Amino acid sequence: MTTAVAFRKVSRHYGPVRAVDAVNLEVAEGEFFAMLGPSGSGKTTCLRLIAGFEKPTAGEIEIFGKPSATVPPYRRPVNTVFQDYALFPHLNVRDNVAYGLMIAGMGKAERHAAADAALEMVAMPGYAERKPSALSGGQRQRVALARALVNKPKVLLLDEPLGALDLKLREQMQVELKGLQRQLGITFVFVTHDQGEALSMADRVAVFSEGRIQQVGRPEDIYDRPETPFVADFVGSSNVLPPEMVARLTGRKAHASLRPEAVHLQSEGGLEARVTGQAFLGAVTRLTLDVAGTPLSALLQKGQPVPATGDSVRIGWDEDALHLMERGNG
Amino acid sequence: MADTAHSGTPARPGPMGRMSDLLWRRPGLLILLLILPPALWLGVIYLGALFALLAQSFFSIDPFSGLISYELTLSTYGELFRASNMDIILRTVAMAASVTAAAAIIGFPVAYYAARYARGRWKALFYLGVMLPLWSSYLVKVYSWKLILAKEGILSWLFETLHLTWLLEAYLSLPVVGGNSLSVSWTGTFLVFLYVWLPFMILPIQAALERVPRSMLEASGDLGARPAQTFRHVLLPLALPGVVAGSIFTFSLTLGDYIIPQIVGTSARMIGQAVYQFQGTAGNIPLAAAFAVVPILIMGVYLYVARRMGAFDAL
Amino acid sequence: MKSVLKSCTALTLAVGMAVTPAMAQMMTEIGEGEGALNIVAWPGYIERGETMAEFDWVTGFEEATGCMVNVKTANTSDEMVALMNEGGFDLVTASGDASLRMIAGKRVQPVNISLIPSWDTIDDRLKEAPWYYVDGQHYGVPYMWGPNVLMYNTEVFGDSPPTSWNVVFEPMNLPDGQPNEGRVQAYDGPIHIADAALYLMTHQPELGIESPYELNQDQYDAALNLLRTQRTLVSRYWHDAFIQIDDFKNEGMAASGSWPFQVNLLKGDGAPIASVIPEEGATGWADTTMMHVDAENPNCSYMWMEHTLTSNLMSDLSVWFGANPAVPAACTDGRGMQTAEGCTTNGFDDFERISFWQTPVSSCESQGECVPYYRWVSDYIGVIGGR
Repeated sequence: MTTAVAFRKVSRHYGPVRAVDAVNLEVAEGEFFAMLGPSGSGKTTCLRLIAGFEKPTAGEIEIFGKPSATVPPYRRPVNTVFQDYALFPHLNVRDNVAYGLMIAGMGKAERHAAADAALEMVAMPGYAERKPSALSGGQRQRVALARALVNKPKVLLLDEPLGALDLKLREQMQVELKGLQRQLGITFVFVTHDQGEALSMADRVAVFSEGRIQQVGRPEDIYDRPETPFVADFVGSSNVLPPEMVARLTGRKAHASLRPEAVHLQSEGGLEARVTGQAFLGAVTRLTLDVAGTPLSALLQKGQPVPATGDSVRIGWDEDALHLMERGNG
Repeated sequence: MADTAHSGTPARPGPMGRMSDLLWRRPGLLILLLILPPALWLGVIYLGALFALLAQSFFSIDPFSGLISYELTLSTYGELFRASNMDIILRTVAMAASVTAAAAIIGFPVAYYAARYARGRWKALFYLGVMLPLWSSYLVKVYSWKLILAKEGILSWLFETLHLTWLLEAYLSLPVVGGNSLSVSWTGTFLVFLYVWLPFMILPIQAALERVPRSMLEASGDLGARPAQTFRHVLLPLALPGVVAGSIFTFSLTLGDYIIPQIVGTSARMIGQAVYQFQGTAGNIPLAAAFAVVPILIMGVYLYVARRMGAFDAL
Repeated sequence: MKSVLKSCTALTLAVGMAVTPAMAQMMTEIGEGEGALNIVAWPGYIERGETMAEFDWVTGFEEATGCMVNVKTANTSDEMVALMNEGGFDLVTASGDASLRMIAGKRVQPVNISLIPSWDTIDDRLKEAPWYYVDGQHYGVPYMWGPNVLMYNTEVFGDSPPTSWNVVFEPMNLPDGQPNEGRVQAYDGPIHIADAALYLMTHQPELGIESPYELNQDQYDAALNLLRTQRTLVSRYWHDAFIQIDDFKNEGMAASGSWPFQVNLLKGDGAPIASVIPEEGATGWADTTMMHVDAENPNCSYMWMEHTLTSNLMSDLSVWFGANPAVPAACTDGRGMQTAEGCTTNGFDDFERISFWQTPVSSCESQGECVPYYRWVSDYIGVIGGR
């Protein structure tokens, strides 16, 4: 399997701020790769480093095996879908989509045909004559996608492309994007702060925090076996148990994660907990608990009786639901 | 609780309160009140004066008595087509066009730097640098340029120090742009115009460039465009309204100015001087008025062409 | 509408050239001063010791009368006319090419000379001169007169000062061996056509020019042709006295028609400058203090007119400006700095050689039909524009 993008100890510092700090990373060809993290975690900077809008302070980025340090953005075999779409307001949709082809010197008729085909692909036929200002957010997003894909990039970079869409549209686009990626076989590098989005779409996910990668892995691994408390907390809001508590439970002193959905109420045994609050989330109800001073949350499936605030309950979980994180944080 | 909720807001005491309530209920009235004074000012004072002037241009001067004949005629406009008057118009338009083009070429990079790279203190310094020439008196600036450009002035001295006098001489020996010295040449007039009006070009371009998101330029590069192509296909079209706004300033200011060509240049008249001289001197108000119409027409044509060329598409 | 426009026009320009005297009410007695006096004057005409301390003929007047003098300078006769048309001024020091226009345009009022005690001291050659005395009325009090001299750079001309205006009209090499092209100037006012006509009176007598201000079409065309030749020699026409001074300092100018004012200032600065009245004679100006028809400060105006004739003004101004006083005694009686020799230098005895500025009108005295001033304006613009 070919490596599409490789980071070798890449850093990007702005004065004292380490936006990206000694990151190592490999993205395989044809992979749908997600960079997940809160804002300011360095994921977008990594994307911009791949696109060439930023230069690394240290380290080397290789794109398909070629060092990219001296390659300007306009010579890289990558295209970007920008967070704000960055459609050119003075050009109509067709000319926007055909822009890269025009730059590449393709004739007018040919590139217009290609642009129309690309618009067809993103389900936007019939909008070619409009100006971007006459489109909705979702439509602009599709045009931006078409504008990038029409150039047949080897890597498509997507910078929070779904961030500005409402929930329904976002879910629909997630499915479509995944479908497109499979159909085209292009490497996608996808930046998002939405863990649900990352987990549902990506083949692999890199979780960023403070300029460093906390964990890289398949979504299941990230979700079920977080390696650091940050990952456990950020991906799916796991309960992170302090080492003292874990030591009492297992005899090993380390942080441990515990998925809220793995926690269940039981009539005897287990631990005693006090209910501090409930939140109705539709299919489930989130229960917040206090276990000897450690806050913990549990998800109750619909239909289960919900205890009242202040009640004492006993809780338990499956043996393998408690995941020890020997690496600690960071 | 329920009581106060149902009693509604208490009526605000006093005429100011009632006034505020009225304006809140009828927002149209507020807009009318706000817009009336400037509309009156523009409509009556400005357009009225303009109309009075334009009306004069349809009269003519009696060739024998020199008195104004109050009969509607187009003969005064015919006068404009006399060779010496056409000279004035063409000369002025050529000057305005070259000043505008040069201001755009020089102003764009300056504005670009300010809009894209200058931050904090540097930005303040930029504004200071651009605005500073506007603070000192226009006449002081023009007179100091006369000294800079004089035959025995600073620029000549500079050329001499650099042993480049031959270069200056060669330039001055050129027809049209040359002359006995820079200060009595068209080049001199051009340079002073350029200096004096440059801020009026830089500021609108800078405003337009600041409105172009960085991602727009990155997107262009990302799609394969070299910086020059990005400039040609994205930056320039998006900044064009700013350039056009700036050029309206520099072009019309040059068209109308009558001080600079009087102090620096060859003494050949420009439109502003002709208007000044015909109305103040010859008592030929109709011809002065007809001359005054010329810049208005030229600007009208200019804006029309700019619109047709899509200068305002990105607005 | 038509009448509105008509009156607008009448307010903003001197209508026509036909001389019809205004029968305005003349003052019969002088009352208390109003405390202020607004004068439109040539640059350097009204000095209060600010340019050079010893040249002050305003402070004394202000102390004696309480009329505080406010001066607006104008660089050309045309500006003067325009300013007087705008109004808001009491007096103007008008040259002959402006005075008749203002009389015709009813911008100035007749002066009651019996209210000016020193009237009799005025030079007889100036009494009832045609540029201010119209139909038996005195429209002002003579102020100053002088020639438009030929100013030249003594380093360029060396031992052979110019004797003819040809140095500014014809292409030639000047005594320093360099051509005059680019090194001569001419006045940036249509009245300069008269200088060309004056030159032609000597050099092309067959044209039959009798007065440089009264030209028929042929004579006029000949003068314009001469000016077109001059255009090839002139880099920039001079408009403002101080700009001309600057040009002689910084632009390497060799010769130009000028006023004694610039000559004196340049000499005072130590510049190698001298002046001459060439053999063809010279045009000149004879200025008159004229009173605006709507003068707000008539009493102060009359006091000033009397002041001009009696104080140090005539004498010191003639030194300062290089001009000649309207009161001959001012040359000799020591009321100021002027001396008999000084007056002679300034051309006091050359009165007859000077053709004083007047406004060209179509119905002229010497011949039936002359080219009127408004055509001088547009044609001179054409000449300067290279036509």
